[in-house]
Amino acid sequence: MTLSQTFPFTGALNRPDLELLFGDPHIDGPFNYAAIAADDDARRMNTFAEGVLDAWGAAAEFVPAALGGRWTDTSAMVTRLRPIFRRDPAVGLGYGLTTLMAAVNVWIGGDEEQQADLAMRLLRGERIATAFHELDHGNDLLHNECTADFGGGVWKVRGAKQIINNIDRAESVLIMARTSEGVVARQFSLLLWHKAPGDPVDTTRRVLTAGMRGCWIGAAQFDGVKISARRIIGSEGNAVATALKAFQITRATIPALAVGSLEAALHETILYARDRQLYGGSVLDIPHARSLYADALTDTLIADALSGSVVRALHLAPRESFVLSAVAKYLAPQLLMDAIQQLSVLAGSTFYARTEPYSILEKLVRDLIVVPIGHAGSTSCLMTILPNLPVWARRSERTVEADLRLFELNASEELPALDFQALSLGAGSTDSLGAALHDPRVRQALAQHAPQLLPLVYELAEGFKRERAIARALSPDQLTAESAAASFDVARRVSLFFAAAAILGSCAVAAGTSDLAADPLVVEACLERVRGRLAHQQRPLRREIIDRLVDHGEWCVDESRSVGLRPVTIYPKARQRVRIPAGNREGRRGT
Amino acid sequence: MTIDVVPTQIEQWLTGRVIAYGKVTADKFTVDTPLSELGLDSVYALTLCGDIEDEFELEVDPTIVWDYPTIRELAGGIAQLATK
Repeated sequence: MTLSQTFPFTGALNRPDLELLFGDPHIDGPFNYAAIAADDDARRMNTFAEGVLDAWGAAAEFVPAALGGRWTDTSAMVTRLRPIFRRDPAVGLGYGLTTLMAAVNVWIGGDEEQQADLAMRLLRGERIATAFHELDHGNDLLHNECTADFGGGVWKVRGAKQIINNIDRAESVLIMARTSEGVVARQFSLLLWHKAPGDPVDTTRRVLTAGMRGCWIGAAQFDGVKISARRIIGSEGNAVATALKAFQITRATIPALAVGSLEAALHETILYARDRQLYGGSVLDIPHARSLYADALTDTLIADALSGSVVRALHLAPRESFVLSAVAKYLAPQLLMDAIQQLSVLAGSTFYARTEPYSILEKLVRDLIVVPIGHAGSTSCLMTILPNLPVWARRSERTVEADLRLFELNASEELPALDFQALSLGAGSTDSLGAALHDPRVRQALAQHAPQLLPLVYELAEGFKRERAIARALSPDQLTAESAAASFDVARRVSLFFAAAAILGSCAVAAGTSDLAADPLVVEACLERVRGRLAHQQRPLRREIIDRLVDHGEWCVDESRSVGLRPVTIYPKARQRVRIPAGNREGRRGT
Repeated sequence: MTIDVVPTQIEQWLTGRVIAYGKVTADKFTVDTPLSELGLDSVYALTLCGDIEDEFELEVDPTIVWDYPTIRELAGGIAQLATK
């Protein structure tokens, strides 16, 4: 590896874009699509990519600036990390996200000393695994059985945790364990275990998965592991409250990052469809193929608008983030899954026979299946939205104006640092995002720039009003896990209205610019696809819209631009060389 | 605010809400019965918190029901919040 430069840990300025460090995945290189597919087949992480991320100091992305890291604006963090997801989602999850999932609990619930200690560990490149999940109980955390008993100044952990990313190779593990009886939600505590040789635990069993195959996902059997009393995060009994706040950050961030993987799949699809000759022309000439591409791009843009606004809401509307983050983690992965499914149909035999050079498409399909399941599954997200619906509906009905800053996806100014203590477990006191459906300023912007869309906007706004009335009238016994499917459908439909609001808000703030979100044809496509989901019946997009969307896809490929609402330069031909630090993760167990 | 923030009056209001949810009748509980024993799980806790917020114009985190698990304790907790 040529030595050119190393980078200081802190400061986002003057740091090279990861796109530059990874280079074009279509040409020869250690982290190109061929290498990524081979690593996936061998169920291993790409060591070059992990080395680059070490050199780049990627762990500092998950450490708040106040603690010496680079994390201030979560939206900017997403932009900086998407290059990983445009290449290999397994590296994104296995290198970073799983550490973020654990760390946010400490930023929310830990004391100053615990936070400083963890920041130091992350900044020197250590990982933490998140040992919450028990296979017998799924997302039903309150029935988890792993326990910790206190005695002699230490907690002793006994029990099992399964499907834990990096459990064997992380230096530390955040464990959710039952520490007392009493009120169920207060029975659990978070214990941060720093591994030591000889600890009575087995973390060597690997769980083989169909997607994200490079990740080292495993199980732990604790047999009396001792953890010092100082390593309890927050106070005893605080695990559920802390985790429910921490989940908000990761539920918002994960789908926003996963949009990057669809950007990659859409790029590959254009390359394939131009290249492949059928019926006397290219696949890109076939109307059905063009329609599939347009549908997939539209669904990706809806996911981008929704998840992007919800990430910004963490900063701008934290008290609403409990519901909004569940909406994003429910709906955006569904949209992305549907999008990539359509692209797999478009690619046909090239997809299922894994024909080179497009084998990455088949891997991306498998990886994306994990996104809706892993870390707050789709149904669990609906169950988070559901009990909040009546209260949310009341608050929404009295909200007149949206917070338009939520929709400034291309804002040049960074958001102020996230206030972890402002996150709550309630429905918030207003509806900053949903209100975009009827906000007079949004209507005015549309009337000026895209008046032809107003009838569709009125139709959606009326539907939103009706849905809120239904949500408001739900009685508590219609809001539980055992409730009828009809209740879940209200939560699903409300999520779709939030998506429509995010599109309209993004259009209003972009109106008059050359941003994709301001293009009336693009906005019409997004609103039409949301309407189709609400009606359980998609109408084909108009020919003019399909042509516009395919043209945009082709232009992005030709110009090496990302295809989403936040365009950036991608896949540079010349890769900037970095020195991989000595002692990086190469050769460590499990890599 | 529609009623005075006095614990006994808050208790009365909370008792009314619990009966309104329809899981229990008035003769089956007192202000000292843990809400969880009335079948009021986390879903009802969220509903109750929303009602409390609207009634008393307070910001109430749903964890209040975990830490004040009876009507009497909850009324005390709300009164404390309201006087802050």
